Amino acid sequence: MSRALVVLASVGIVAAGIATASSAAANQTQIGTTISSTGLKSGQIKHVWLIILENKSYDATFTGLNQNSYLWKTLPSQGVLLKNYYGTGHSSMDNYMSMVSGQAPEEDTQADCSVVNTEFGSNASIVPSGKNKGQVASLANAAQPSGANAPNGENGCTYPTDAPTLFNQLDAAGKTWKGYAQDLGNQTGREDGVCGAAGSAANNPVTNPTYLSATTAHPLPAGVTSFTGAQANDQYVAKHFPFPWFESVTGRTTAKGTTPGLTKPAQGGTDCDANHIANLDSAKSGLFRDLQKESTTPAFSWISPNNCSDAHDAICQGNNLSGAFTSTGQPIYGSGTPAPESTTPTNYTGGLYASDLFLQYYIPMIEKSAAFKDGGLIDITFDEGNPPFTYSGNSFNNANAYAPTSGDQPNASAGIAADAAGENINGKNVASEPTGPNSTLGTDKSGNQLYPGPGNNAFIDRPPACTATAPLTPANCVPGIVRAGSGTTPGARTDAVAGNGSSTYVIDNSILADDTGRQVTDTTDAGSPIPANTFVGTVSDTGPQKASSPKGSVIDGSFQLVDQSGKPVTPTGPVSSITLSAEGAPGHLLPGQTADPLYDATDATTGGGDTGSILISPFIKPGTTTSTFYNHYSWLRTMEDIFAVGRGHDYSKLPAGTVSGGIDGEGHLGFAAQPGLEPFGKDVFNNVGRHSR
Amino acid sequence: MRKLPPSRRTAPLAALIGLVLVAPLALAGCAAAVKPEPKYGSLPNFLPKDSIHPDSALNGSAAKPALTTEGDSVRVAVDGGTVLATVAGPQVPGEGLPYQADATTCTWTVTLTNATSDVPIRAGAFTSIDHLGAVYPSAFVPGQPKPPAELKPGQSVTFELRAVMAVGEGLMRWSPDGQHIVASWDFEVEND
Repeated sequence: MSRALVVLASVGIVAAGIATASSAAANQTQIGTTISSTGLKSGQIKHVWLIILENKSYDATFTGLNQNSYLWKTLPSQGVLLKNYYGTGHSSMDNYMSMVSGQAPEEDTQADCSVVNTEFGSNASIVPSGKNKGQVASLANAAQPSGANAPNGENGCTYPTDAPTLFNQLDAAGKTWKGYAQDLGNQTGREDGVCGAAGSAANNPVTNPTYLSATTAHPLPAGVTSFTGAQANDQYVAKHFPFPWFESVTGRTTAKGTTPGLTKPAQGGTDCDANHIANLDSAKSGLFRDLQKESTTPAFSWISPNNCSDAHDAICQGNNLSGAFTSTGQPIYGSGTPAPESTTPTNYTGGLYASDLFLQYYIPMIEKSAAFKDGGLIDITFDEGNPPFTYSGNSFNNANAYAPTSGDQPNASAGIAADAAGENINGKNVASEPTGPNSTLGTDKSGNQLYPGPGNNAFIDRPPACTATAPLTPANCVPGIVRAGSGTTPGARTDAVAGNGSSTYVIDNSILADDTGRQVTDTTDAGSPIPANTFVGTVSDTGPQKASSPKGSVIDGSFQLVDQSGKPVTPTGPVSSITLSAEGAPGHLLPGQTADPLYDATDATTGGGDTGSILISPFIKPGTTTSTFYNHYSWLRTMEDIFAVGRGHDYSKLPAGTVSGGIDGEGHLGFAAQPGLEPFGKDVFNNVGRHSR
Repeated sequence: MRKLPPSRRTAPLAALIGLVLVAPLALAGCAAAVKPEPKYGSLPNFLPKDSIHPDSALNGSAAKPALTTEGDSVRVAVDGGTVLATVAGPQVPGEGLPYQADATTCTWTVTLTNATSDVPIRAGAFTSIDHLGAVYPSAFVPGQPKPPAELKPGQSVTFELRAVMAVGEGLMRWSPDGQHIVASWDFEVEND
């Protein structure tokens, strides 16, 4: 070694020592120490990619019913399948909030912030102690007869500055992170708010809130057809991207100016700059570019596919990536940037078919990175399980004559089960979760549910509210009920169908399993060919079919005509249009109504339902499963433990706890700090010994 | 001693400067600073090898018709060129129901792509045959957009065909000229 080399090398070593002295000291105490009960050692997992999909129950995803064999078969063969992974609420957005902050559902986030994006609660309404410590209470609660859960639009959507998130914790722990969203920024004025917030750059929750549903006073901006749903050129939806909904991340803008978020990122800048919020396919800051080197790969990557690729939309408004593969099924990665949406789709089919295309495109992209091989963890999960298998939207194949389980029928009990809760406390699976100060599960003296609860009852039809003055009507009304997301018994419906005098079956692409039992009439076709007292018998929906346009159909539906005793009925001639009778509450049927199979007044929907989840890592044995109950709070606790955020440097006092210490002083936020809550354990990280350092 | 080209001679100095610049940034210490980063590109060894190999399309012609299963593609020889043809189905109503008829409405999805010459499209060119030898003519599905009468080179088209046929085994056959079958797709009409 030359003299010059010795000198220069020494300088470098000294410089490195100075720069990393504090972190090296901290690391000395971590190496070799097992953290919580994940079975992992600090620093073993260096990179996490979280891909979140939408609205599918476990039995729809992992039973082979929906032509999604990559997610159903291939990915479980690479990692571990969590068979009992539960969402924490319904609808979507509250789940995203729970995952990154431990906050329980509240009505406006349960309704996907569909009215207006104002602030939710305040720093002063953060519960300072007790079982709800750290939860943000709605300022509208006090004015509610129930004391909780004001109607949608009155609570707000964006959490106050002092409600920290996982991302603040990562900042404080010196860990890098990035949120990638497919299509982010495609349409000017649609998500130009800070951190991908819906609206323009001029919008903010305090002085200029975005109205997500258009009103006369607040029409949609030019070029924007929807904030809450996809549009052809931009299928991003802010409700599926958690970052803009926390002032602890975005900072807070008032008439006096903007105050920054709670923390500063590890590499400088702000939490909403291009190093932290990016279009998934950006050539400059997207996923493919970042994966090229481990040094450019964030420690934690959040990936929100668009409303097509996340399986949300059954028929996509825009590109579903069906044209982004070679004839042998290999993803086509463009030069410099992947640009899968520059290809022409071969169809517009959505659901789990589309999410399989997304996963087949991006999972191998991640797996080929040096960062994945060096302590990587890919986590594919869903926000919620609702609606249940036998209903619409969840599964292309949904019939009431066959199902993954014989008990999976289109009735209220199946709907209740689809919004079940589950987690593991002190090693025991429990079918419950904390609900926080906003979404209660209270009942009246008769046992009627008074509030939406975490499951929000959206697919359960609840009793109506009562008239304001006596006599209270209708007969089955419940005084004081807060309907929120709960369903209403459906009215009469007319479908375009195809039937004839030689078959008892009617082809009807709108028919659903829960239409079973509705009376069928046909006053349109010549001779009224459907006899009196004919009903919808067993229903069969099959798919997915390839939708040739965003207006196409992806389901072939049919049902059998039956009489009151269930015997098949044959029309007397061609049938092109039928009317299904209105439904009503059992015991309170009006003339012409049939019983609503989804009506339930007394059973709570307690959570977000079982979705299942898959994790792939060198620390996980390929092809394994676990039945332990986990939920979004368990997930947050796991991430907090993996990155040892409790050893971060931000212990400034908040209304409840601190950023780095969390609520429990061990780095866990919100309900991730529940005493005894188990993070993903050795049943998940089941290959640690073979890959220990 | 052999004289090194200038670029080779300056390399050690550049490396040293790089070491000085990189080392302070490397949290893992100086050893990691000199180690080149692994390259992007290959799948990790611990993942199971993909055992699924996509089928290559069969070739079908009047002289040598192709026989395959529904859902698979056949590269069909037509006048002066080829077209990739796929027949999927049939979809049937009432699948899995307690009461089942002996015959049912069958709907197939036909996709024609990668045409290299003009390809005539007629519903009558597609016929299905059941296990007893009965032949069923197909018709375009009412209410669905009809395909063009002729597919031009480079174009693609997907359309649906329908016939009421017996439950059981069957073959969907295509004879573009109306006389010679060039491809057959095996299927089963199942409604139980």
